[in-house]
Amino acid sequence: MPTIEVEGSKVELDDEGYLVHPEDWNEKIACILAEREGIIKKCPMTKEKVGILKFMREYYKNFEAFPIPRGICVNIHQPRNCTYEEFPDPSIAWKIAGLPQPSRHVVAQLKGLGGVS
Amino acid sequence: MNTRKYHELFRYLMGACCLLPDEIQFVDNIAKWCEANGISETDTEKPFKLISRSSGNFMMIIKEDVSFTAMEERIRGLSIRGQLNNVSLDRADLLNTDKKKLAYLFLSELASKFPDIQDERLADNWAFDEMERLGFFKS
Repeated sequence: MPTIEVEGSKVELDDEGYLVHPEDWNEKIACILAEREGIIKKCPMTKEKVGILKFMREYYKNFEAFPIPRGICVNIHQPRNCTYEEFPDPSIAWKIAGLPQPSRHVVAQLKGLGGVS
Repeated sequence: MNTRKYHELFRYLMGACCLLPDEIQFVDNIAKWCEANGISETDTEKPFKLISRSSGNFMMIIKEDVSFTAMEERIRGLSIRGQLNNVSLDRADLLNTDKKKLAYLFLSELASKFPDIQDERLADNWAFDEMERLGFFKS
């Protein structure tokens, strides 16, 4: 099982790079995941990116659902296309937010290919 | 028009924008409500106002009775602003039901809260994009 090392501790990922234990998540882990996914070149992440990830986690905690990318920005007082500018692929944002691996159905919806309505 | 009849529409729009559907309050007069709550608002006929609560959540304040005149005045504003971009298409014509008019007004109020939307035309565009995405114009 792949792992990443964060401040001397090993954090487990699954074969597709999702956190095995979502509760492990913190900003440092998110930053390393963002580097692995090519979203940033070097840590730390901008506060805009961190704001989006934190909102996604909070929303998931409350509703067990992925927030609609277009709806995130107003909630965190960011420009209207913030999610697309910061995370062009919402399914990658989901991974960096440390949320459980979504089904193919949800990924299709996130990418605007239809799916759950 | 009594906007309470459209409570489910407003709940749906809140959810579609990742806002909490229960964070809606109907009031007689938004300007007066704002004054009582220490919020600046001078438009006495304003139909919707999105406010930020101390909890971090947003709440949509909705005027319970919106007059035909007040609504049409705002739709006419959309029409005039639209003519600056395209004289051949009047998007106000697409708002051919009360439900669509209210959805537009609701979403354009929400759009005005984005830090990069400082212009009513941008708010109009965002509101129409959302309405399109949510299927309001599907025949």
